[in-house]
Amino acid sequence: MNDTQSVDVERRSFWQAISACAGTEKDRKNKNRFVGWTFAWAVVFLAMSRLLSSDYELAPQLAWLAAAVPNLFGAMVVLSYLRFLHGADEFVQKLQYEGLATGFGISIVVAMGYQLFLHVGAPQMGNDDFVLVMAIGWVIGQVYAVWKYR
Amino acid sequence: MKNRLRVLRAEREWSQAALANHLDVSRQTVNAIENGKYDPALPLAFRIARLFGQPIEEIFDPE
Repeated sequence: MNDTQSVDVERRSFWQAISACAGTEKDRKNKNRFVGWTFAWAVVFLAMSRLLSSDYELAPQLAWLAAAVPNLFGAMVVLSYLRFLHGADEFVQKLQYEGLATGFGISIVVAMGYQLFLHVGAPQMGNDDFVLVMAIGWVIGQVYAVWKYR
Repeated sequence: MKNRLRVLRAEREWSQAALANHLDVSRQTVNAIENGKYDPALPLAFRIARLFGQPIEEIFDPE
C-alpha cells in the first residue's frame, strides 16, 4: 500500500465535472427518456390548460378527461425518473438524492418563510411559483453536489 | 479512505472513461473514487478488486 499516494490527486474544474455527468450509455438513454416525457407533459399540460381556460364549451365528461390527461403524462415523468434513478450507479444516485433533498428543503423553507414576507407586503405567489422554486432547488442541489464531488 | 485506483488504472494505461466502461459506472464515479471524494459500496468495491485481480484491502486503505 506504499503507492497509495504516489499519484497526485487532480481536482477537475467544475465544467469538466459537468461534462462527465453524462453517465453510462444506459444512463443517457434513461435520462433522454425522462427529458422526453417531461417535454411531452409540459406541452400537454399547456395545451389542456389553454383549452380549459378558453371560451370553448366542452362537455363535462370531456372537460374532466382533458384535466386528467396531463396527469397521465406526469405519471410517466415520475416513472421514467425512477427508472433512471434505479438504473444509475451508486454515485450518480447519491448526487440525485442530494439534489432532491436540497430541492425539497429549499421548497419547505421558502414556503414557510414566504408566509412571514406576506405580512410585510410581499406579492402574492401562486402554486405554480412553488413548483418552480422546487425545480430550481433540485437543480441547485445537483449542481452543488457535482461541484462538491468533482 | 485512501485507495490505489488511480495507480492501478495508470499501470494499465486506461483512461477514466475506459475504467468506467469496465466497471459499468459513470466517469464521474471513477473520478470521485480516485480523488477520495467518494467511497464505493461493497458491490462496486468487489467489482474493482476483481477487475484488477487484487484483494479489496490491497486497493482500499481505511488509514
